[in-house]
Amino acid sequence: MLRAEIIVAVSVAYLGLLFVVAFYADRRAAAGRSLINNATVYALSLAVYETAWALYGNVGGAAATGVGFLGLYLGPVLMLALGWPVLRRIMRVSRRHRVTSLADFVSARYGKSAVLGGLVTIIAVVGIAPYISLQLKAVSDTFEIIRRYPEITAASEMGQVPLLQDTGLYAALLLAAFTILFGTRHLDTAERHEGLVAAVAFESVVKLAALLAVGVFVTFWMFRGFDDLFSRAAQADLTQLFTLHGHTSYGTWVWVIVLSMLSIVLLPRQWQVTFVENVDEKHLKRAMWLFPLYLLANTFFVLPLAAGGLLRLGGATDADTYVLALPIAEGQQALALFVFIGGLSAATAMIAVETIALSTMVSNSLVMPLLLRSRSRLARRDDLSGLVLGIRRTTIVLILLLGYAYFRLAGEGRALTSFGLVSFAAVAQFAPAILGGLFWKGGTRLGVLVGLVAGFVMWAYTLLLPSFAESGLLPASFLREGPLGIELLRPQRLFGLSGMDPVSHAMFWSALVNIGGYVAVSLAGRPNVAERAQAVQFVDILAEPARERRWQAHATVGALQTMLERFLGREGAERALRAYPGTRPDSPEAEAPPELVHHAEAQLSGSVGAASARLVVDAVVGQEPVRTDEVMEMIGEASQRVELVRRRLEFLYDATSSIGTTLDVIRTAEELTQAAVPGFADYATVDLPEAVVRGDEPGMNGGGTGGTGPRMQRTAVSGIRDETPFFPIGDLITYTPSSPPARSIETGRAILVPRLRDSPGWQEVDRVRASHILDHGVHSLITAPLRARGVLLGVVNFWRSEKTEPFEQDDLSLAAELAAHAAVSLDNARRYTREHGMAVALQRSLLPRTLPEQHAVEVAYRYLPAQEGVGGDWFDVIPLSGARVALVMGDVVGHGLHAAATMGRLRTAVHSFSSLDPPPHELLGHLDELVTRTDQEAVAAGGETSITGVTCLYAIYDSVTHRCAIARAGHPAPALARPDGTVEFLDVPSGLPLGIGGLPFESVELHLPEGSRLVLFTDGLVERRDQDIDTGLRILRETLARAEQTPEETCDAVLDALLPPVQSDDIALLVARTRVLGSEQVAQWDIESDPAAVRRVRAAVSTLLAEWELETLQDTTELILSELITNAMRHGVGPIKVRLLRDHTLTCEVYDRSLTSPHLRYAATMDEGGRGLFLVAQLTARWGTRYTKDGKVIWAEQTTPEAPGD
Amino acid sequence: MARSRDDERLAGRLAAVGALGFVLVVPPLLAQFDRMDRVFGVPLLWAYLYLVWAIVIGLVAIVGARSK
Repeated sequence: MLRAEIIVAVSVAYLGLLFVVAFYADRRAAAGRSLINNATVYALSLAVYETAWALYGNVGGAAATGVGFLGLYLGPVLMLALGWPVLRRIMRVSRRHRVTSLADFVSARYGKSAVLGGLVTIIAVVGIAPYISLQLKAVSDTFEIIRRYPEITAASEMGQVPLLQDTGLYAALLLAAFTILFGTRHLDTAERHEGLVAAVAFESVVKLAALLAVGVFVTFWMFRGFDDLFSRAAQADLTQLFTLHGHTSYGTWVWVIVLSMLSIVLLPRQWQVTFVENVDEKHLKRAMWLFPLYLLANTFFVLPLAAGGLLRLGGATDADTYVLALPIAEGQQALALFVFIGGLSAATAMIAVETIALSTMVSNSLVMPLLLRSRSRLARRDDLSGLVLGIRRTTIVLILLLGYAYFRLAGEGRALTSFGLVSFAAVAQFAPAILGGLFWKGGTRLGVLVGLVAGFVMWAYTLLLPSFAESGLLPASFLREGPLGIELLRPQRLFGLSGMDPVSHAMFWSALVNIGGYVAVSLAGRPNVAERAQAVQFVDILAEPARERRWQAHATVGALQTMLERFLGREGAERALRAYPGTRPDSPEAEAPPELVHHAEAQLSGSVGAASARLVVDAVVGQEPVRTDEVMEMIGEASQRVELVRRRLEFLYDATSSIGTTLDVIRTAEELTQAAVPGFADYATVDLPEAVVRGDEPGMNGGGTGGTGPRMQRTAVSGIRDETPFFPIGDLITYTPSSPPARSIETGRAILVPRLRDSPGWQEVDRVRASHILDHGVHSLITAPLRARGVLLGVVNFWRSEKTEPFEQDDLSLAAELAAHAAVSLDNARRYTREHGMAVALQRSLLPRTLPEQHAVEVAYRYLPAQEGVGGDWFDVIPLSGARVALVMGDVVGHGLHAAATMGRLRTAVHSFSSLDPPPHELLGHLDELVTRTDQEAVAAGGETSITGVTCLYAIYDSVTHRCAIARAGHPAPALARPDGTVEFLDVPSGLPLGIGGLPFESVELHLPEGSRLVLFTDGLVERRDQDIDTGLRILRETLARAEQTPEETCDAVLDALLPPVQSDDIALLVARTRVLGSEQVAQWDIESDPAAVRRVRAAVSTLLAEWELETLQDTTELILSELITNAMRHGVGPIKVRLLRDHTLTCEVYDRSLTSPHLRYAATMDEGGRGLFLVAQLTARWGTRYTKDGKVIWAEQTTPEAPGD
Repeated sequence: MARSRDDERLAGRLAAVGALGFVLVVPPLLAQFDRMDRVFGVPLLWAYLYLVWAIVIGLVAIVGARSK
């Protein structure tokens, strides 16, 4: 007799062995040499399908219906053949979406619906409970049988035992403990249990071995092979072993095949081992034939065993226990124990896997969503992994107790097989939702909800309730007469449908309402966006992966990590984040990219289910889970992109419109740095070669920088703080060739340095400063070349310190764009600086630098070029013969180089004309002709610019006569400030500007008292945009009336009073204070036309020069005068007049009435005359002729040894 | 691309094997063997079903092995 203690000891020892196997597998997995990464182990693990129910009950079934039981195995065989097209899809979906249970799958497929997940969970738990009770029954019954060895006890004889003596209860509790230890030691994001799978595979071998051993023993030991066995059976007229017809309808047969096809996929434990625990989808290929082969071997001896049992034990013993009873009957104690262990093996494997799968579903799809939704205090704990494990462990115990309760209440007296089919029919309800969802995109959440509820209700009504009725829990009349006697509602004859066995009947109705509800409701409505998105993901799973993304997700990396830690624990969260394939921002404050959020959700959904994970992540990223979510998904990637581009364009627009407001290089560089801060960078610096700052060509294109690298001047610095660690403005920096700015110049591209700390090239430039900058928190740099019109002008550096995220590749283009825009402005400023400088230089070179020495007037002048550029104003003071001086003031219309050049030409022309000493109006006439001719030439040559419109004023002051002749061509009239303080604007005919032609100019002659100030100016002085010209003139008049007497002081006073704040036109101002040549310095004689007069004049001159202390000039003066007088007598017309002026020179003048101009001749050797003017030219500094109103004057100047009166 | 075509071919062949197996184990073909006869001393139906089973296993193994 086998003592109970021995049986228990062996059983516990066996369970211990399983632990060892599992432990070993876990160790191997941790070492990276997974034991279950093997197709054979995978196929064996699928054999969890073969339960204790199958081990014992199959023989019972075969004893009653022959091969009828085989339908349960043919279905899986066929389904596995379809494994590649169907199962692999589920496998892919599960892996990609981290689906870890059936409920999760349904929920995820239909828009991550928490309701569906919960519903599937409830159906699964209720549907599977009978199945679990079956295992408990098998274990407790066989324990009782083997305990009473060698008696053979019929199960029916065992009857009811008190609860506390029932082995079933202890079996349930033992298995619960076993499962908890096996499956819920820690949380794994993939819900994989390597040790458990290894143990299951091991158990599969044990139960196969047990069954084969008993089969061989019965067939070949107790009988003499198959022939003997079956011929005896035939003789005993056991016809049920040979055929189906007569006891099993073909309808049932087909339904059983179909049900088992679905069950091999949809039973929670099969789902667990097939999809969740699968390591490599290639393993499926071997399992497709290896698993059917295993089933073949497993069932091969079932019919012979049934035949043997019937022949040897007959109907007295429960056929469900033949497998155990036969060895017992033959006294094979060890074999019986082995079979018991095999049965225990099958039961533990099934219960462990099934309850783990169910507990995962309950915790992930039912309890957690409820907790999270209700915002329970539990769900707000910091570490939720303990909570999840607790829920799972509790669930395992509860499920086993539920199974036990079912076993206690309904389990007695029913054949094991029919029990199992109830569960099969329950899980078959998932088929439309799952298989339909795999191949049809049109299914909706509502359709599934309606179909599942309807199918489940129908299942419960037509299968579950009848099973209660048969067990006596419900009155038998419920079955026979229908509820409340309504015949139409009889559970097994619903709506009068008869002629079918209960399973076919139930399957027909439940499939009808389930599939019908699913399809009809789905077609009536439309899948919403989330459902459609998931449908595409699931149905097209074999195509290339499309990424499901969250767009408006804003969460920091730290927040995600905290969230993961709450569910997975610290280590689990670390693992999950490490698994992220992209680059993870290293700072916890950094915003998590959408991919990372998605990754976190996927990892989490492995542990708590898709629906819960979505809720949790939604909470963290602050995303509304409802409507807005749809809208956002609809708007999708495109709008996100558009928004990003729009923001960048906006920034670029704002930035570029604030750059280039002036034509100043340095100002433009400053504007560039200011535009980039703080929108784009925390600091920005600009470096330009010194030449660029001056406006010259930079001369540093590309590689022409030599070995030392470019040398540049820090031109602008801007930052979020005033104090910056960078090179200060004005420093000259030599960039080493490997530094980012040098490389950027070399390549002409923007260079990204995401981590300055890792850039040795940058640090090389100045190590001390580099470490200073790094200490300042600056961590990231983009250097962009400033390139415009093919010329490299310098570099701009953008730095980040406060913004924690480094610059990215995307920022490069923005930086380059900004730099390119700024470079054009910089180049404009540079070119302007250069041209402006050139024009100013030109104009200054054209204007008089120092005024010539003369004593007729005392002058002061001012010239102020316009801010916008050079202008065409000019002025001149030209000494004339006879102690006279010419004052010129002119204005060429317009500004710029052209005006300056024209001015230069006209000034030269005025100089040339004045040497002929014509009266002012005549000089202006010549000038007018010149301008007209030049214009015509310019027009003929195709030039577009004319110089027409030049104004000019020309005045000649004679310091002997105190008279001043003035003519003007459109120029403002000069002001005259008399010594007595009166001021007037001289009434000189205005005349037309030069180049217009028309009326001749007119000179006005007036007398100027000594010390009068003649003020000449251009319109720039008195004309202003905001002010009437009369106002300007009035101010000028008042200023002159007040001003001090000297010309310098007058100039200062006038400019003080009249200089506008913004000078739009250039200004020229000339103040001349008249002097008088005193009568003691002038001598004059009238000469009669008599040669003797010459002698008299020579005598008088001799006396005068002695008086003037100019004796040294006596001889030459006498000689000059006698030559000139003789000439006048010989060629001219009387009367003749001689005048001597003693100024800074000694001037001799001879007047006559003739208009013939003398000219210098080189006399031939033998000529008697003709040597006079030649002599004069030799003896004087200057000589010349000028015409007066009534004749001409020939004059000659000699330099005096010293100025008079000095 | 070649990979997915190869995949489709494999899936198609396996589906055909599955369909064949299904047709062989349901009436009316099944009914032809549903008799009291014995072959090699074992029930005809029992032998037939295991033969079909073995054929399906063999076909799946061959088809699976031929694909990469």
